[in-house]
Amino acid sequence: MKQKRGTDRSGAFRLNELLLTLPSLLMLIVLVGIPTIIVVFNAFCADSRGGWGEGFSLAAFREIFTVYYAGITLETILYTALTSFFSILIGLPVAYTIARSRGRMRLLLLLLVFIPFWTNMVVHIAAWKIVLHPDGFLRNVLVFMNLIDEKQLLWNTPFAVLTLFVYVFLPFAIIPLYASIEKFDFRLIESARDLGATASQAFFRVFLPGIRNGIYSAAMLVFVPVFGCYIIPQLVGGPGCDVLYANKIYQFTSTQSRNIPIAAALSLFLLLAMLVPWIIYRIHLIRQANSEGNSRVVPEPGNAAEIHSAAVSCQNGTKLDTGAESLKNAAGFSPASDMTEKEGNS
Amino acid sequence: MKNRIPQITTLFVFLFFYFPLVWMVIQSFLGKVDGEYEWTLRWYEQVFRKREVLSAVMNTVVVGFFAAVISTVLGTLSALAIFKYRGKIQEVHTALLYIPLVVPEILMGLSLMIFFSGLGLPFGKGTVIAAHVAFCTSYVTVVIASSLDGFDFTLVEASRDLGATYFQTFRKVIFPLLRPAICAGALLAFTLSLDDFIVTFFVSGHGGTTLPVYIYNSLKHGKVPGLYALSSVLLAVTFLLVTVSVFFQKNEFLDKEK
Repeated sequence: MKQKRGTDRSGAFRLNELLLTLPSLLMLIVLVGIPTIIVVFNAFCADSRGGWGEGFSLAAFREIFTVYYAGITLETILYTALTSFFSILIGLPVAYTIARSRGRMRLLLLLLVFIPFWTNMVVHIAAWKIVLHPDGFLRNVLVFMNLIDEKQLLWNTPFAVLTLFVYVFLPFAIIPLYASIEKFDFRLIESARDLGATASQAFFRVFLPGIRNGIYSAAMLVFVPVFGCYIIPQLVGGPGCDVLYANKIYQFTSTQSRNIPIAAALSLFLLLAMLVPWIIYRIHLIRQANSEGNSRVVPEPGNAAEIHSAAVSCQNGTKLDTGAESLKNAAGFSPASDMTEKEGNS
Repeated sequence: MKNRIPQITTLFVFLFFYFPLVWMVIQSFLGKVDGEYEWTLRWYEQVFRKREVLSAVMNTVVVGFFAAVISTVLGTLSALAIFKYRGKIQEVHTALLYIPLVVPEILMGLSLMIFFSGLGLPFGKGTVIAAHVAFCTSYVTVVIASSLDGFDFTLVEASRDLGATYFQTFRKVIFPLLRPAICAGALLAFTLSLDDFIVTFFVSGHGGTTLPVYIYNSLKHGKVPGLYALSSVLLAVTFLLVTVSVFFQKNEFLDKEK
């Protein structure tokens, strides 16, 4: 009887695994795997007129290796770099304040960061349109105070695009910074001060290096979505600064100037732009692990790059690493939210 | 060390965050009558009388509901599968689950658009639900997998040994233990669906216009009266969902006090 159940079970074991796995696996193959492969395939089958072509061709890539696209890419990188810089600069004191607060105060402050984080981007744009509108409140005040010229507009300017970028993506920087400051041992600052370091020395040589992983992951979590964001330039930029990198992808998918191969090729470069900072970050983590003699670096929670690394290397067998939780998961929804402690002190 | 700079910056950042939003909500209740501003509900009345708006609201709710239900079911199963089993199948499974978490949304939208139009599917609610399920499932899986960390699978075996069927085991043992995580996952999936614009935009066509897509179109084609009322409604729903989920898991944040 016992023997029979044993053999029965190993057969049932495979069946159970398949029953549990197949629904989501099939969905993922159909809705994630196949479409992704199709995009890669599409990038290589453009014909000279820019439509669907026959066979393998690099026409789409020839099309985008031009000075024009290089200019757009550089402009986009400038915007993303500025957005990341300002988000971290402004986000750091906020993250610090939240990490140093306690109890209900911390809960409230986190909630106040999560709400703009989860609010749809179009709502943010609508709200800012009122503020920066030509007849809006802010422009009238600035004109009244003689701070700007009568003719100077606020909406449809590079300034408006950058403001919106920082506004929308600041929570993406605050959350990983908070998670990393929360784990920082502030006794290190006290010891540094006791040993004669000035406040700024303690800040630059103890605090910032101590939270550098949080800073890197904040930079990346801002960099990636800004690079792929086309709505803000399109709706806020106005003539002159309404075309950044992702807007070109959008344009080639719209009915007027549809060119799927070029859109696909541009998207593949977007993926590459996302992978480059990730690889730099990985190299940094490996170096850090080597220099500190750790076999395993504790990943920052809320770090999309870390998730990717786990996916590629499958280091942790097949279990999703809880330390590598996604940002959106960390942002208030995980019942076992690791953003505060857990693996940090292990 | 009494340094007030972080607190003061934080105060200014929260003013920066909330001033435009609060200002928009106030504007949505203001109307001009004979050159004088007064409180009014007329923007809300006007906007909710439009057929397109009502259908956009309906689409948003229907898409959010089905995306949340389907992705919660799939996410629960996949979390149990990747937690319990090892092997090549699960490696592929995990890798596929990670793709929607890391790929830029615009690439995901583009790929699904090409895929659906290649299949000749009519764009509408169906394609939007499918697209939302594609990315929500991964997030649900992460939430549930992280709560499985302390899950005791001997309970499942005990239940099986005592003669329960698989369905009974799931209903009486696994589900009650995972209920908080499943609820959090479903709430997350609904919020993600509501928060998404980019992927939806690519696959919605005419029949699948959701509220964010409608607001985007109004913004793009100039000012439409009632746009701010509509945005305020979307903001209020997001506010409610996030507040509920944070207070739902209040102890997770409060317990971490040292």
